[in-house]
Amino acid sequence: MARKMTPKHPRGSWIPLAAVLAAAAALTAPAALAAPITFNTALPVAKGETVMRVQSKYLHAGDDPTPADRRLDVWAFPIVGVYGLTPRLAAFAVLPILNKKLDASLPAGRRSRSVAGIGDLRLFARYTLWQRDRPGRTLRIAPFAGLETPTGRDDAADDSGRLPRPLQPGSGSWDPFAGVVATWQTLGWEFDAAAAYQYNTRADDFRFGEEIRLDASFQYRLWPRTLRTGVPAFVYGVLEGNLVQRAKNVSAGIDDPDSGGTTFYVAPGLQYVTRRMVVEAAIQLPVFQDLNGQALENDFIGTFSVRVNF
Amino acid sequence: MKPLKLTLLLITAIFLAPALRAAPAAAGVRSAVVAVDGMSCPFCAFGVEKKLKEVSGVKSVTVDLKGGKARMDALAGKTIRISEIPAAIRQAGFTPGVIEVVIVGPVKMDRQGGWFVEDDRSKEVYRLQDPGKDLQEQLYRLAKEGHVRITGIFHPPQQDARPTITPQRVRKGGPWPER
Repeated sequence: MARKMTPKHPRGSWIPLAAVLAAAAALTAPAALAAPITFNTALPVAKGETVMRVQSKYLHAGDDPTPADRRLDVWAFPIVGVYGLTPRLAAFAVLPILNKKLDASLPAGRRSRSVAGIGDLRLFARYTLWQRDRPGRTLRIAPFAGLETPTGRDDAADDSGRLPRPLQPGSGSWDPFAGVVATWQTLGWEFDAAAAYQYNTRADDFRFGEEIRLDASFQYRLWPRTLRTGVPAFVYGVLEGNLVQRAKNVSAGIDDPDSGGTTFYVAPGLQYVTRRMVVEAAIQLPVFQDLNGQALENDFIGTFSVRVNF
Repeated sequence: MKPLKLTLLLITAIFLAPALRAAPAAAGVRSAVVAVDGMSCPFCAFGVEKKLKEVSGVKSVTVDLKGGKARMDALAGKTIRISEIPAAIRQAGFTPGVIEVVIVGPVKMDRQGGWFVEDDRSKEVYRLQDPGKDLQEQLYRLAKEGHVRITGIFHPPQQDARPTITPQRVRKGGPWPER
């Protein structure tokens, strides 16, 4: 995988942490209502109805180019609530519960730093700007916009002192984001594509790099092969792609050379869909990573989630 | 208010009043099937089902994904308020298509050759629009035998006209058992 080399940090530095940023961002993407597993959709939420989604995500990052042999493990449990304000306008809230652990070899030996707690609450709204419905198929385009609020701690500390900013559960900043998602769904398959941009503001003289995401998802009905009457449960085979580009973090007005970069994930997965519930799993594999400096490369992100219609 | 404006307002009100009085009663049937365009996954079907259950008079809703339709049956002794169906589909985020209804009741022909059926539960009278030659022959025969069961496409009433059905199938109806 390509990697832009920059001067290395001293052995044992705790500054590494684009990888942690990558984890935080990847695990709190605007995952929401229906078909794609790793991002949003343009499918409707009925007026006055609620959909809840509970996810379990695990990220592992290693492959450290430095002798510190850093390893990052992140467990995230984003809880997503969606409410249909009108047939076209839906409100989303995503609250992640995070557990991050970073291991590294220091001159004094192998050290571990970890933190757990709620992350930053993401609030956003999605409006179906255009839709074309036909028997058994629909095509929709829906822009969305929202704000990541600083509900997570950004001053967590351990016996070595305050944790590095990217390892904190929260960013401490109010970060707006916006994007657009398109969905083309038929009875046999579905295709979703989304583009999103997040501008991260400064907090405590630190600013995470802004982020651009391009996502695509294709779902194919594997079962039942032949539709019968009624509302049978579906099993979809899912293949998703996520292109994530992040700018460098800025600390005290200086770019962090070991942060930011581009990652492209491919995510195969499976979905079991009934009237009331969706159970799904996917694994995001980084097939291309072009990270700045000594940022840790992600090895994989595993996702398991359950959605329930109320 | 100036006298001229007041006069215009009164004249408008006087002319509008008969039209408002002539507004037809809301049509009700005991069974209806509505096409739901855009509904193409099980998770989405649930929203349609919930919204249709909120339509006045509905006892049960059965969604058919493959056919892209939802069937509603009325509560015992009640009729389904057809006018609420399109709004319910839209509230679920989809596009309502044609509504197929089932009417059971006596049929009559007026002097101009127009056919009408009176729903034996709601007592609502529907005009039968353009029944073909074969259907008319069946209606002649069945009308003498008693109640007729007519399945057809519902058209909302225009102004003070009666609601209309384009009949597709007719057969001997007999009063339905209460459900």
